[in-house]
Amino acid sequence: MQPILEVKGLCKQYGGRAVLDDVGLQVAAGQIVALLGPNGAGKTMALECVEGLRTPDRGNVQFLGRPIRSGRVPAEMGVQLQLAGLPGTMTVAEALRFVSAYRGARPKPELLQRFELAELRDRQYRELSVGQQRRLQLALAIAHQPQLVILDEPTAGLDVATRSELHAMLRQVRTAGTAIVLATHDMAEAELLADRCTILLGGRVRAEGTPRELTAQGDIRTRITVSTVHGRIVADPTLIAATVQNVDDGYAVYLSTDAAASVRALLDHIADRHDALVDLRVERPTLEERFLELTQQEAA
Amino acid sequence: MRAFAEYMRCEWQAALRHPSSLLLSYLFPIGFFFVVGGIMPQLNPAFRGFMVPTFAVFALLAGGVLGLPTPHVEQRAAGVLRAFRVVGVPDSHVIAVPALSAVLHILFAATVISVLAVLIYRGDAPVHWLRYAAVLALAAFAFTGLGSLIGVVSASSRATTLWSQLIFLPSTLVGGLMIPLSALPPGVRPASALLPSTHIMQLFDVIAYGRPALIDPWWSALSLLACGAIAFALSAALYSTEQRDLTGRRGLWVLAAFVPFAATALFATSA
Repeated sequence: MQPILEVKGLCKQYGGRAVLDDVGLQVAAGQIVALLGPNGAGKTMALECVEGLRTPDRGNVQFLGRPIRSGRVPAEMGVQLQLAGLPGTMTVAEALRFVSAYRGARPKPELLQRFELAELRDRQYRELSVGQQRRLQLALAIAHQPQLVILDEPTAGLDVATRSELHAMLRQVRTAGTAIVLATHDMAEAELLADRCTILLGGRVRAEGTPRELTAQGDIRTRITVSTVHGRIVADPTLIAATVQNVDDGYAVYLSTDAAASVRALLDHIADRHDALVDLRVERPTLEERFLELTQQEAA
Repeated sequence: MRAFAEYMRCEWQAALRHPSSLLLSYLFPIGFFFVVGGIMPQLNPAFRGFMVPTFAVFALLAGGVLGLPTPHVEQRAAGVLRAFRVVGVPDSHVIAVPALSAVLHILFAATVISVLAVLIYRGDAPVHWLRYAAVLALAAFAFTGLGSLIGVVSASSRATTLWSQLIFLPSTLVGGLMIPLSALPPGVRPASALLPSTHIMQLFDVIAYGRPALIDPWWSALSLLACGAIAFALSAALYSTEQRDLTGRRGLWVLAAFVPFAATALFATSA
């Protein structure tokens, strides 16, 4: 698929320190790409270079086949900054009119409906809850129907229910054809939403791929949890090509590098012992585990 | 144009909704007018002769120099100005729109107060109301320029208060508002000539009331015009620089807006 955003060899020094070192990123139309990394990894700096808010020392940012002009966010791009707000006295409806006017678009009241803000249209920004403010910022970021929207930590500090609402809204945005670049600390969020992930550590790209590809890499193994009627299953872990992590409350937990072979061997083993399966769970390594592994490698 | 008008509409309403803007643009000058207007003519009957421009200049000073900078600093701290940049608001609008909105608010407040001062406290009415309005407009331009510059150069609300009070307090004490320039001790007059309020009061005397003045009115008018122009030009330039991350110690730039008054004090004061 032809990328709409292509970032190559991005380098940026700040205060004599390399904040970005040869960073690359590709985003195709309608794709959600998560940019992951701990605090200070360079996520915000990379995004600001992509948005045109900062000028990289080296590297190339092409959006819709054109280079990004420094100091100007392209018209086809929507942005929600990490630390940005609106004037406290501005109402929701005024904010929509204001942003639409500067983006050269007609204000669309249906957007407020879509983001469950219609009833709050006359409420001032300072009177909105944090979750409502984030919903408004997201609505404003896409008010001019951009082809790409860049969201920097859009769910930071939100409660579980509000985060879930916002996730649903992000899926809606993607379904409408808008690509999303999402910078986040939340690995579960990235795993849930992203088509592709880029992990930044110390200003460099340490891993890139789909969440499934990323979790398949590394040394972390698949966790197989099993319980049987007689509880006689931990006979010979080597037989099922797995190591025993623990046995507790009638459950045995194995770690395997080849989950399919291990599960087959485990089922054969249970049948041979004339036992019966009560519960079986196979859990792939999470993105968070893979991320922590990379972070530890980087620190080492 | 639609975007500029929309921003202007938001700013106009923000000044009425924001408690500190409302206080400094309307409530503080009107409260000062009622309290001081009731007391001063009894203590000094000659005060009626210059009370109308005094209260008007006080309103312009409060709204322009005290009221205008704070929202800029607050919006910068809250990330509003960054959000504006992302949306495509030009740097020139960020400087021009709040200043223009403030000019309209403070001119409205100053006009109402001027009329009330004549009607309620029997202050001397200007001989030429149109010329009076022209000086008001010139004063509003200079004060909002200074307010804008203070907002841009101040790193925090504390710095804003410091710079604003550094202009506001001397202006009310020795800037011709409470005591005319001619009544000030000769040793204080050169310092008074460094303040915009002194030149505004001198202009009111000559142009709107047909009275003699101690400072050449052309120099006063040019100083005020140059002060406003320098302040707005510096505001725009420093704001753009700030957006490119080239911030540094910039507070002293405020003094550049006072250079025209220093020149006038040196070359055109007969006092």
